[in-house]
Amino acid sequence: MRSNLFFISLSLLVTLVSCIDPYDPQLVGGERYLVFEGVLTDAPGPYQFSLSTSAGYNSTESAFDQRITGATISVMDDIGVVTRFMDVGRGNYLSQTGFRGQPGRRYALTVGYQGQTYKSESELMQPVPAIDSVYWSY
Amino acid sequence: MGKTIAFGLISILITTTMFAQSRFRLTGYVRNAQTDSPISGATILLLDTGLGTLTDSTGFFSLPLPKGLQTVQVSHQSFETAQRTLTVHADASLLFRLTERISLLREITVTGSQPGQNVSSNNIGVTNLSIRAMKQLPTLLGEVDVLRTVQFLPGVSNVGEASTGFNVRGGNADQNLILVDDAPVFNASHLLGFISVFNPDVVQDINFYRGSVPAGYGGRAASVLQTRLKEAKATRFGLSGGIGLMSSRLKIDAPIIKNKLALYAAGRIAYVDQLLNLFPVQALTGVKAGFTDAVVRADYFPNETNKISLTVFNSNDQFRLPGDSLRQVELDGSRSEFQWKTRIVSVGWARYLSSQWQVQTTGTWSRYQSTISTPDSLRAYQLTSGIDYSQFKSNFTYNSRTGAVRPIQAEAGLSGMLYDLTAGRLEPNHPRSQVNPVMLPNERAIETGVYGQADMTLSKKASAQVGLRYSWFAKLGPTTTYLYQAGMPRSPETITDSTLNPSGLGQTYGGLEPRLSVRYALSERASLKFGLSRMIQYLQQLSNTTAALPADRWKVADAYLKPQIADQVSLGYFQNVKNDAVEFSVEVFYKRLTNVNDFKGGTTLLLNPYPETALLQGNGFVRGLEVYIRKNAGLLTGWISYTYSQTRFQIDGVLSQNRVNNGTYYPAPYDKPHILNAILNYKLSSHVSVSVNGVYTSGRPITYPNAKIYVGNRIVPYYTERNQSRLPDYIRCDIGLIINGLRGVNRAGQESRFESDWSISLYNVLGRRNAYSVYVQTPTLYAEYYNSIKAYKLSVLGAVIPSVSYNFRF
Repeated sequence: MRSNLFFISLSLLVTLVSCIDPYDPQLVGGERYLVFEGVLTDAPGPYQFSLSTSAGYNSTESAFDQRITGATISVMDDIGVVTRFMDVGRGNYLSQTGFRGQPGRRYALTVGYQGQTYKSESELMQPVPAIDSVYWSY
Repeated sequence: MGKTIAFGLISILITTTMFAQSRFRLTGYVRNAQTDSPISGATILLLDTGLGTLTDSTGFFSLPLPKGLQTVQVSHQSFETAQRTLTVHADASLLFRLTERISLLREITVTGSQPGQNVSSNNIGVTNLSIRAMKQLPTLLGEVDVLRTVQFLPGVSNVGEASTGFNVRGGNADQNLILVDDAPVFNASHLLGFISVFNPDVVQDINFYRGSVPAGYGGRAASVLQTRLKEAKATRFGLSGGIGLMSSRLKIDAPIIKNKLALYAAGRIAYVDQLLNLFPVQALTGVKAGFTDAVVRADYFPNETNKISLTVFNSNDQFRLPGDSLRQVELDGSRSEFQWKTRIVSVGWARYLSSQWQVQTTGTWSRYQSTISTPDSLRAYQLTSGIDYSQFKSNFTYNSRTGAVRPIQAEAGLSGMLYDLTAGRLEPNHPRSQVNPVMLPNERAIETGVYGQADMTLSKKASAQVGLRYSWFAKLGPTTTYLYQAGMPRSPETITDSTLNPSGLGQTYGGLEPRLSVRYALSERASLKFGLSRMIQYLQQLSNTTAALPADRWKVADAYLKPQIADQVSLGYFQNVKNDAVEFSVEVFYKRLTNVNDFKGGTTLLLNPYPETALLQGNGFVRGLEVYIRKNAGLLTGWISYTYSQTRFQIDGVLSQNRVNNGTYYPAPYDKPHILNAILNYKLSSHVSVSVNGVYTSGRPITYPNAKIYVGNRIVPYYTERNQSRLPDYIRCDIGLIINGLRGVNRAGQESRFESDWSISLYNVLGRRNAYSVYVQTPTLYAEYYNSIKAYKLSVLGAVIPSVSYNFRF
C-alpha cells in the first residue's frame, strides 16, 4: 500500500510540472514584406536608413541577407522640404550632410521600389522637455 | 446522512376557508426531509387529471384542482416520489417532505417517472444540478468540483487546463456572475484553476443560467452560476470528511437550539507543498502550492414565518515559484509568490408575510485580494490588487391566490452595490529594494438595480416569464479623467489635459434590461421555448492573456471604458422520451456583443495609469447551436452535450491604430467552434459504479508570425493579423470508480451511522499532451538565422493523473 501511494504521488507530481515539447505549427508564411529601419532625430547627421525584406518564418533563408538596393528614399517635412537619401549599397541609404531633424516639424517618409511607392503618415518630432531637476534618493 | 428518516413523510398543515365552487387551489411547499431545505423544480402532478406544476426556488407550488378525491404525486430526480390522497372540498395547503433517493440508486435500478422540468419550465438555457448528481462524476485529484462539472454543460468552454475562468456562449471569462449564497466570488479557483473554491460538503445545488437569466440577476453579460449552500438544519451532531492525495476536508454539524438554531463549519486544506518536497526533482525545488478554505453557516428559525441565515466564507491560496523559474521576466529574487484570497460575509432574512407574499433581504460583503511578491533582492516588491464589494438586496415574491384561472408567480426587488477597487499598488518590500512605488488611484462606484418579473400561464399550451430590470451605474469621486489630443491615437504622449472630479458622481451609465422567455407546449412531453435578454456589465476584468489570471485587474466603467452589453435571442426544442428518463434538447442562439474589449498590440495593462491607451473596444457577435441528451434513470446515466459556436469581434476604430485586423471580424481569443462533452456513469452493482468523461474541443485561436524581419540588429517575428490560426484539438478522457463501503450493523441489529466510500480516478487516461499554448522562440545568434524557427507546445496536465480519496460520514 505504501509503495502504491508513493507511485500515485509521484505521477501526480510529474504532471504538476508542465511539459514543453517541440511542435511544428506548419507555418507557411513567406510573403515578402519590405522592411524599413531608420531613426530621425535632431542630432547631427548623417542618418543611415536601411531596407531589407522579410523571410518566411519557417524558412531557412536569412532575413539578414535580403538587403535591397536601388530603391529611393526621401523624407519630406511639413513645409515641403524634401531630403533625398543616397543609395550606398548593401541596402543602406545615407542622408545628405547638414540634414537634421528639427523639433516641432512633421516628417513623412517616402520609399519607392520596383514601381511601388510607400508613404508613411506625417509624424511630429516631439521637442525634448527641459529637465528641471535631477535627484537621487536612497 | 443516508439515515432513513421516514419515507416521504407528509403532513397537512392548514385547510383554509371553504368556497362553494368545484375548482379549488392546492398550494404548499416541498422540502428535503433531512435538511428541511426547499426543493426547487419538483413536479407536482394530479394523477387523475394529469395537471401538474413545478416548485419554484423556495420550494413553493400552487395549482388548481377539481373537487373530489384527488391523488397528488410529488417527484424529483434526486428524491423519493411521494403520494398523498385527499378529498378536496376547499382550498388546501400541503407540505411535502421528500427523502433523498441516493441510497436507492446505489442499490437497484431506478425506473419511473422523471420530472421533465426541462420541458415544462418557462426558462430556456438553464441547468440545475444537485451535488448528489455531481458526486457521481469522475473527479480530478479526487475532488468533486462544481466548476469542472459546469464545464461539461452545453455552451461552456474553457481556454485550457489550469485556467481560472470559463466561457459561456462566447462570453469572456469575466462575464460570469458566480454567486455563493447571493455573494459574488471574483475568483472561484484554487491552485491557479485546478479546482474550485466550492467545498462539495456544503454545496446543496447549482443553478446555471446561460440563456434567459431571471431579472433578479444583473451585472454580468454572459451567465449566472448560483451555488446554494446547504442549510444548517442539523438535529444531531454530525461529522463528515474526506482524505485525498491533494486535500483533505472536514465538516462538523451542530444543533445549538433544537429546531431553532443550527450551524455547520466545513474546511479544506491542501498540502501540495509537503507532497512536492518529498521528491528530489530539480524542477520542483522551491515550488510550493497550497490552499485552505472554510465555510461557516448558521440558520436560525425564530418562528414559523421567519428565517435568518449567516454565511461566512474564507479562502486562501498560495503559489510559490523559485527564483530561477522567473528568469525570463528578469527577476532576480530567490522566489516569487502569488497569493489570492476571498472573504465573504452574507446575511439573509426570509419572511413569509402571508401564503402569497414573501420577502427576502440579504446583505453581502465580498473581498477579493491578490498579491504577487518577491521577498528579497534589489527588486523586492509586492504588487497588490483587489476588489471590495458590498450589496444590499430586497426581493419580494408573490404567488397568486387560489382559484386563479391564470396563476401568476411574481418577483420584484431592488439592489444596491458598492465597488471599491484597488487597481494596483506596487511597493518595495525590502529595505534594499530599488523598486519605485506605484500607486494607481483606487476606484469606487455604485450600481443599483430595480427589477420585476412574472411567470404567467397564458393558455393551456403557452406560458411565459416576463422580466424587466433597470440598472444604473455611477463612478464615485475622486476621479481623474485624462483628455487626449483629438485625431490621434490615445497614448501617454497625446495627453493634453486632465480633469479632476474631487467627489460626488463621475461618469454614469444605465439602461433597461428586458428578459423574456416564452414556452409553447407541443405535447405533454415536448415544448418549444423562445428567449430574449439583455445584460449590461459595468465591472470588467482587464486582461491581455487568454487565460484569466488571479492578478488580472478589475476595472469599473469610466469615461473611456464603456459597459459591455450582450443581447441574446435563443430558441429551443425540448423533448422527453421514455417516461422522462431521457431528456433531449436543441437550442440555437444569437448574441450581439457591444463594447467588447481587446488590447492594443505592444501595450501593458498591469499598473498602467492610463488603461484607455492600451484597450480598444468594439462589437461582436456569437452564434451557436447546442445539443444536449441526458439520461436520468437506469444503470447507465449521464449526458452528452455538443456545441457549435462562432464568436467574432470587430474592432474598427476611426484611426488605423485603433483597428484590429483592419477592422474586419476576427475570432475571439477563446473562440472554440466544436465542443463535445460526455459524462457517463454505469452501475456495476449496488456498491460499485464506473464513470467516464470525454472531452473534445477545437483548439483556440492563436497568432503565429507571418515572417521574420531583421531590425535593430536582431531577428524579430513579424505579426500581421490576430487569431488567424488555431491550436491543435483538445481531447481528453477520464475514468473513475466509486466503491461505497458496506454499512456495518451494530449489536442492536441497526445499521451503523458510519458510511464511507472510496473514489479512484484516472484523469487524462490517454496521457495526451494537449496544447495549452504554442509559442515560438527567436534565435538571437547569427549562426541560428539559417535554422528554421523553433516552436514549442506547452501542456499543463500532459500525463495520466491517478487519484484516490476516501470519504466518510457519521
